Amino acid sequence: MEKYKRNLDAIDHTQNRYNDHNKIHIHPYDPQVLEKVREDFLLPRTCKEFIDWVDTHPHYDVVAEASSQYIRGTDRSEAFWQCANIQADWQSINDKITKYCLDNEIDTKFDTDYTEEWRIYDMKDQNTYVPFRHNSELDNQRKHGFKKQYQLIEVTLTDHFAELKDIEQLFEFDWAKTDINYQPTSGAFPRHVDFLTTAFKRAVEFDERIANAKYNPLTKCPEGWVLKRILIPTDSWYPGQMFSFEEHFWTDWKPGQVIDFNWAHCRHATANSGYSPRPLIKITGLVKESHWLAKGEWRDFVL
Amino acid sequence: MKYVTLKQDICKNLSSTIQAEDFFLLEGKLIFVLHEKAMQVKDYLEKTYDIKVHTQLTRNWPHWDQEYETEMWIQNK
Repeated sequence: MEKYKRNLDAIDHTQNRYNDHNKIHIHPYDPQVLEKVREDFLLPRTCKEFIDWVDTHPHYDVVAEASSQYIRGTDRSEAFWQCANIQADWQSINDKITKYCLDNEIDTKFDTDYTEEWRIYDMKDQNTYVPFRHNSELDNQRKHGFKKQYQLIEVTLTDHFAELKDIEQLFEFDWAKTDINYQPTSGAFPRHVDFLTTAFKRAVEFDERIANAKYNPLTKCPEGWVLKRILIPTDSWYPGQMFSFEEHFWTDWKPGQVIDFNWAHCRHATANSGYSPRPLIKITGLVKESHWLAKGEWRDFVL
Repeated sequence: MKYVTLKQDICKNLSSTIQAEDFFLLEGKLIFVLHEKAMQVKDYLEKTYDIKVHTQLTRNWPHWDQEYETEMWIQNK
């Protein structure tokens, strides 16, 4: 715990009710500790209260682990599934991403350090490609040797990738947040579940309907809404590139495939042990339960 | 099925022998303090849900507060 992106005053230590803090960040977590944290997590909160709680929690990594209700043996179709296909000029899109990465030395200066704040406001230029991490999450990853995960290239908040904003529009998300999850060779992101906090935080920040809605700790979504994250490769899979959803693996992907997945409960992990970078478009946002994605329907798109 | 739902189901239907503190969730597996109780749950799950349940000895770690005898997971179909 050498470096903090936030002043320690921002951490709410009243959340500490565990006997020995020195043991709390050691994998595998103590099952009884996880059960205690899960009890806290299940308490009723509004979305704003939840974001404040998790954002200032001293043990984010344990909260995330406790939030997973995944049971090994869950069918692959409930872990991840293809929900759509997009026909587009993927060669040009991928070439543009590749050039952007060359121009900005994203592969050669691959690093994942502590960051200062969430990216939820429009930005003119992107100065760092480090994805946001809660301190305790990054501490935990680094303790276990995961020092470089992936690089995050903004789409929604900048004006560099108009064609990707067109793709974002196809899905009609509220509070859509799109970025390129670009994993240079050697990157590895360990098993985790998400809260989709960046998109969720934007919605809470700007939309009182979401801020005041009840947070459902079982779906990990605002009541009446479904938080979605979809993944779209811009390049074909190369041997050595890995994407796991617990005991299930996604492989041999093609540009334009759209993957939906159980981000809330199914731990997922990525690694690039190949010799080609691995770019994925990641679109996150909110939909109503009547939306085709929430209903598990399929769509074909042509751009 | 989610863990909290499964736990409620087990504790309700095996209430005479299984209590909430008898087992927990760890990385997708149910982890039991006593092997005997794990076997009762395995028998219940296999008969009730027509699934294959696997068990094995638990690797116990020094930073845990108590020891566990058995861990359990469901066979993928």
